[in-house]
Amino acid sequence: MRRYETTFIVNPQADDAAIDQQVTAVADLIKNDGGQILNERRIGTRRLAYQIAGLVQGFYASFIFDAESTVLPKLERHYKLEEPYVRYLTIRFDGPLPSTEEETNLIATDEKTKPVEKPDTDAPAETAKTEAKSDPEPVADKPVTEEPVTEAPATEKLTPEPEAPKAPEPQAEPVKPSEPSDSADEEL
Amino acid sequence: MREYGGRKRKKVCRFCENKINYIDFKDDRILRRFVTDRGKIVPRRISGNCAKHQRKLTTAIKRARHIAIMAFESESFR
Repeated sequence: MRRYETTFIVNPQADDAAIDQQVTAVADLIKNDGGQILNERRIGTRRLAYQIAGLVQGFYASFIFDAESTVLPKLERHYKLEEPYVRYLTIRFDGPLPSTEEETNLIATDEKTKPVEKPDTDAPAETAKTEAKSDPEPVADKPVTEEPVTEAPATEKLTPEPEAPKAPEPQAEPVKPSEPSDSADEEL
Repeated sequence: MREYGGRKRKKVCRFCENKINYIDFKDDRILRRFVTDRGKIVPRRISGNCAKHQRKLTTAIKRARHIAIMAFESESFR
């Protein structure tokens, strides 16, 4: 038993019932072979990044399932023989099962063209590792009064070094030797 | 931030930072950040990804291209 994910594109020009039939056909095929479907995701119709067989849009659906590897050739044969499957991809799945929240997120972005800006998923969650530098117990044995350590502020010093005075650039005379000198007063 | 030669700053892998371990090839919002305008995968030295995540990202982008979620080549250059 291994965990796989199969994603496929169905021709969206068929009516909804036909699309639904194609999707359930894949699910049935997996189940008939003793597989167990863990996650079903109908992403919906979305624009293809490039045309496939003259199509601009495709209906995406995806299954995550546990099954024996014997189901894979059957699945592939099914995809190849049936006309409406435009493209398919079956991979070993090694990620976590998607939560329902992610699912809705994905569908929301796919159905409409780029909705309102969602909060970036990789916006750093600011795991501020505040290393509390709490000193251990003050050593009472020391009679010496310690001087307060004056720490230099840890601000990055970005003060640019005062650059050495540049050699005065030789003011390039606007001589254009290639061009015919239309202002040829100087050459007199 | 470490500085090299006073210019470059050490980049941090965004996936490590956010503790993302699985990169879904269907999530083009994330993948799109790591390709150029033309659709090429951004190299590690630019994006700052670690080796592990760059490998996963590359696989995910290639899968996404196969299933027409991402383009092999950008539209404007077709």
